[in-house]
Amino acid sequence: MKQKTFEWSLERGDLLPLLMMLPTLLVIIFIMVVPLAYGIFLSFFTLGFGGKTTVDSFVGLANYSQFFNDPVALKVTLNTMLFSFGAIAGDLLLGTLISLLLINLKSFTSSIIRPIVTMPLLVSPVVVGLIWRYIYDPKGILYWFLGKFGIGIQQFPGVTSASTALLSTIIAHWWQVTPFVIIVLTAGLLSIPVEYYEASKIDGAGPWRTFFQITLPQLTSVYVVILLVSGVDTIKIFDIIYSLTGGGPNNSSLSLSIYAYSQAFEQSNLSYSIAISVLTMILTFCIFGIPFIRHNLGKGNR
Amino acid sequence: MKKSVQKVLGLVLVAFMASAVLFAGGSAEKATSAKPGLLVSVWAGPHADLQKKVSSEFQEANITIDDVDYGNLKQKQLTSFQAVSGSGNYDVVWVNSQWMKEYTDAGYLLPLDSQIKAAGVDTNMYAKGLFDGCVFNGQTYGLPTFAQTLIIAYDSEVFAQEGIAVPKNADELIAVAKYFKDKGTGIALPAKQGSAAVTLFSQLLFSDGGYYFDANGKLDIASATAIQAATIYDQLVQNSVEGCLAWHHDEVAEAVRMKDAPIGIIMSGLANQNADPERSLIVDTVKYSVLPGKSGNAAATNSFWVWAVAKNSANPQKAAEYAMWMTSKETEKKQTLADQQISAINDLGKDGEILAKAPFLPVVMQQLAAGKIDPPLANFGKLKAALVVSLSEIASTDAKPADVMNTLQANLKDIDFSK
Repeated sequence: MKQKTFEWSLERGDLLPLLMMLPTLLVIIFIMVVPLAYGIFLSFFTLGFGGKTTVDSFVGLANYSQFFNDPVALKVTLNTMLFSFGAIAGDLLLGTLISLLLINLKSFTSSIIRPIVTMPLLVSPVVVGLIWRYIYDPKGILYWFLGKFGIGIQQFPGVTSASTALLSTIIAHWWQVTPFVIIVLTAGLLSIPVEYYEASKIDGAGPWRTFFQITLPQLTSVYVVILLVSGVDTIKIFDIIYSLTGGGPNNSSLSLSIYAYSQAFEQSNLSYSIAISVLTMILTFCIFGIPFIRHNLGKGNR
Repeated sequence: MKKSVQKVLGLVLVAFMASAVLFAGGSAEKATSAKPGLLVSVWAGPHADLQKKVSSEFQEANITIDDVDYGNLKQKQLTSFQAVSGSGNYDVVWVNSQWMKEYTDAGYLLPLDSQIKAAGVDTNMYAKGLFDGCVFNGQTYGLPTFAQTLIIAYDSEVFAQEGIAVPKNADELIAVAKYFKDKGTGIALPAKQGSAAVTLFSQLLFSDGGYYFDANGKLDIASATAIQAATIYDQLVQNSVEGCLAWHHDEVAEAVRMKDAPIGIIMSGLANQNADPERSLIVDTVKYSVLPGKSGNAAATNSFWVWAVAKNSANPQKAAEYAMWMTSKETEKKQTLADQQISAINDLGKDGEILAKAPFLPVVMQQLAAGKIDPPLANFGKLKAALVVSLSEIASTDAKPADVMNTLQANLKDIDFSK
């Protein structure tokens, strides 16, 4: 059998696929790869705004080693990961419960409730932070409601205590992002053939068994996509926390993105800020990117 | 037929091109005769609307004001400074005095000495402490305006009902705060993790004669006076209105205005809102006093804003004229009368017309006169960022102020604060 060899011949059509991809490749290279590479290059210097990359300002990997010796950076990394896991866990749990509830409602009722439930998704994250700032106000709706059960700001200090500030930002995030999970999961639920459920009913399976044996396995790919999107979104969380707590009290809710921002724009430490951002990107890739790739490879092999 | 169509099309094309050239010439002529445009960056604070209104009266240029919230203002200005001249970048920037050193070091601002001299502006009319904050390496990089300081605002009616006297020193202030805390409210103060808490701490420090550095310029943030200021801050927070740990200046001022707190430490720039019947429940009862230290003295952390010209401005001359016009006595008086913002012009602090409009002015001027400015040092931002977290730790945990300040001193010992 004769093996096909690659030749640089346009007439034979060998270069055609490459030429067809060229515009996309150029866009990716100039819009994504070049700025990223330039950013990484700048992280090897010690620069503020307006600084020049000179031999004197070259510090090699010093900004990266500084990160691992910076107690604030390490605390902030832990905060960010806690936020990410807390936020995603709540998003998935609440999203699953609500989407199952909605899909089992009558068509008329669910068509009214579904748009209402998904409305928080349309609100800007900064505005979400501001809305929740009023909700967490001691004279706000939350403490009015909790007061009915004898719970005041002493029992649940919300954004005013280092012990509950991060949780308070996570709750605000649930409010905004759960609708996204509902939309995606509803699409996934609608794609599961009804025959599966009919068969399970005939076999006498209860709701729990039906969920774990049919629904959950059928939604695996959907959950992986949600995990990837929410993972990236939560690791680089900025707006909600910035407008709700500003990272406090005592740095208890400070995230990596806010820390990078403050290094760049408040302390004029641009290179260190970029190093933090690069490490955040690597962290995101390790936690969420690699499992996603492995999942896709596994699917390909099957 | 075909040729005639071609001829007609050719004539139409020639006519179109000729008219395009004529119209283009006309519009170019019009453009050169029109006033130049200036893009101005300001903080979207309580006075932004007035600045827009006043700026429309500037005759030499068309002013477009871009008012940005405080959190994003510096970022936008820094980005604009990197842009090519004439590419929609800012011509004039309203700069927080604490950013001036960084901006001038980076070469973002234009020295205004020649324009000031040519216009015959007497810079002695500005409060010296504030004007000096615009001068770096002997060159003037801007003109001061909108001075601010933390003052005490209280509801005199509540004080009279409770038989409480106005506190004259920090101990009395803590006692008053405790009295109201025991009654279910407390004192309103900015205790959110952020720069407002640092301003409060610094003011308490300055009032008792302290500073961040000793006489030799060495960091001295764990001095007896600094620990004392941190302790006063801690005790005030302990006796504050519920929720203060999430409050910046705006929320504090609102709590006082809405009678949620009978006494508050408010930023003077927000005091004008107390007189607005649509936004305030204490229009007739609000009174002001200085924020005293333990000694009873009161000194401001001189916080002010600077009108400066971006070096990459496409029209630096007109930009400088606008900056000088905005800080002229006439324009400043107009703004103060309209919404009680405090200028850097000494004479306006004694103007009877203004004093009647801004009852808090004497208190502010007293504190500004004894005030100190944050040092224009390259690494001061690092100290301030660390102070932000340390004060938040003091406010939100059981940590002892002395321990926190000693740790802070130890953590910052290797930072160079000499330049």
